[in-house]
Amino acid sequence: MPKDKKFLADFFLDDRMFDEFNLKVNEAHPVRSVFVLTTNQGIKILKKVKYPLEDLEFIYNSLNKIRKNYPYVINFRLTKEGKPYLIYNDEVYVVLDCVEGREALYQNPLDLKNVAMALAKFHEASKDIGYYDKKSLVGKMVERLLNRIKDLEKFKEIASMHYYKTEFDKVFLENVDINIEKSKEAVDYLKGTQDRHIKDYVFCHHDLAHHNVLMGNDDNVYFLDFDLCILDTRVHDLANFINKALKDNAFTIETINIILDNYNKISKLTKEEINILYAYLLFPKDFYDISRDYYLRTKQWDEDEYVEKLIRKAAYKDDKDRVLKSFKKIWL
Amino acid sequence: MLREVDCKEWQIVFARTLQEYLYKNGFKNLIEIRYNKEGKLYTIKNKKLYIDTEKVEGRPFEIDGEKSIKEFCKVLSEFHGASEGFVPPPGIKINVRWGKLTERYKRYLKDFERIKDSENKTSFEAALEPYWEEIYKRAKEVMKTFRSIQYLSALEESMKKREVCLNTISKNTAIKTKRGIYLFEIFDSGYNMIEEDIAKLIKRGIQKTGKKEIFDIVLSEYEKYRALNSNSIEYIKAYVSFPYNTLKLVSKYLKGKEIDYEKKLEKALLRDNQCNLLGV
Repeated sequence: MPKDKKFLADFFLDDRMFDEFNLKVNEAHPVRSVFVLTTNQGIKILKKVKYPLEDLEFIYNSLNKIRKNYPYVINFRLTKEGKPYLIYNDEVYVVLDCVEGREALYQNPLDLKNVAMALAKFHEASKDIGYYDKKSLVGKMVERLLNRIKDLEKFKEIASMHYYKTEFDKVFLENVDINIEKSKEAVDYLKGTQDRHIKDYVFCHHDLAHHNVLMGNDDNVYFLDFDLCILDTRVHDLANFINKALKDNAFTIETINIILDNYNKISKLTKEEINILYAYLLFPKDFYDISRDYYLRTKQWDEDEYVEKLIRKAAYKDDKDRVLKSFKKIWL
Repeated sequence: MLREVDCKEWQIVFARTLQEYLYKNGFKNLIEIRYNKEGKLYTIKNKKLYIDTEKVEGRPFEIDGEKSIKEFCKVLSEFHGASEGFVPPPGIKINVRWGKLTERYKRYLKDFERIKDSENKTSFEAALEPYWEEIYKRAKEVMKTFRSIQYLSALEESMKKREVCLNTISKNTAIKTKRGIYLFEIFDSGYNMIEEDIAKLIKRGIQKTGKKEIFDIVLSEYEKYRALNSNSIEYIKAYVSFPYNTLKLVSKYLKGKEIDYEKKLEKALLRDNQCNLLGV
């Protein structure tokens, strides 16, 4: 059974739960890992939350603040008790308003342009968010990347020790050294910037996949799904966005140019920030993520799926090197 | 009539809402998706999806000659006209393809560039070598069109108008009934530039008939029902002329998939040459 379907099968869909949100639900149909509800109050999204309530409350409160200056973010429906969530059968559920629009398409240069500008406005609106240590990566990126290098070295040890190496192990071992080298390069570059002195942070979305960005029917850009949000320099979000957009656009420098040119139209990046952005982009995040997912078994994929993803992500290296070379020439 | 379908649940829901919009705008040439006895649009049995459709007698409509191409042009133009402006209701997803094809062209072109300078050529690379320059030149010429400001403006226009395309034009797209030509299913439909649909029809027509004149035939037939501007014609020509089959084969080759490349190369080159309208 596909993983989304498995996840949705555990949802409790009953009238008593919906009643707590003052909703009468006529229909519920699955889309990815949520249910779209047709209710007497319009279309809503039902989602199960798998992280601490404290984090959820931070997200909810932050979005309320951000909405004052950037209204195009997901909105929570409150329960009868005035809470943005419900605990039902020991699970936490939220109900969100549905935004009318379509998912962003990063292959489309016009969408890229509009999302970049919207992201800048979103960051401007999120400058005065209260500090929350659990979600903060402010000044911690060097340490974080060093830990990731240690992880890669650990995974290398594990793979080397396997007597009967899996296909994943073999491909991983062929590519790990060069990726560790790249990671160290990123750390060295970051150490050379003023990152550790940067006190300014924003509320970063941190998961700017195209399906989390909605091009509204009202021509506004909406940001959805803040589960992975963090507090850090805004270029962390930009790096996240650029990495995703590059994959959808054959790693062309035009992709980065469109994003940064349009972001700068709203809120100009400093030279220091662009240096930090470069360091973040240097880090081979895709290779790290798939290796971590495999060796720590964080995802329920089968072996073939893991291998296919690793091969694909390892192949990004040359393209990424080439585009970062161009990036350096143009932006630094 | 119960029918098994190979698509996702959201596509069925989307197709039904698009169908309602099409009917409202006077386009009824499609097999109706109906609500079943339980009031649902689909049922799931043994992990398979089933929908309830109207029973329509007919045979698959093959787009294989001038007559059938002209007939299909009319249906296609009417579909484009009736579907334009469609906005799915809240909570209903729509397939969005604006810019996707040109991005795929970029990726394939990048792979094609990589193969040129490979040392110790394999037999496949050696077979491709005599044609590499010509294919590359044609692909670059096409990409010039898709990088132009005029194209970006046309893309923006398509997005503002919310043009909807069928996206798939094959022998399974339509059936010929006593009442005329009916679209069999619209699950793959979504936002896209209509020039892509027209280009797909032209490509299919040229490949079936071997005649490049199909380009002019399709355009003049389509324009009987819906106007196209001169830039549209340029984009359609570019889509048709892109050496898609050869470049796709090279991409697959570079990914190391196990297929008979040399045999497929011959076929790919032939098909792409048939569709070369640029004379480059």
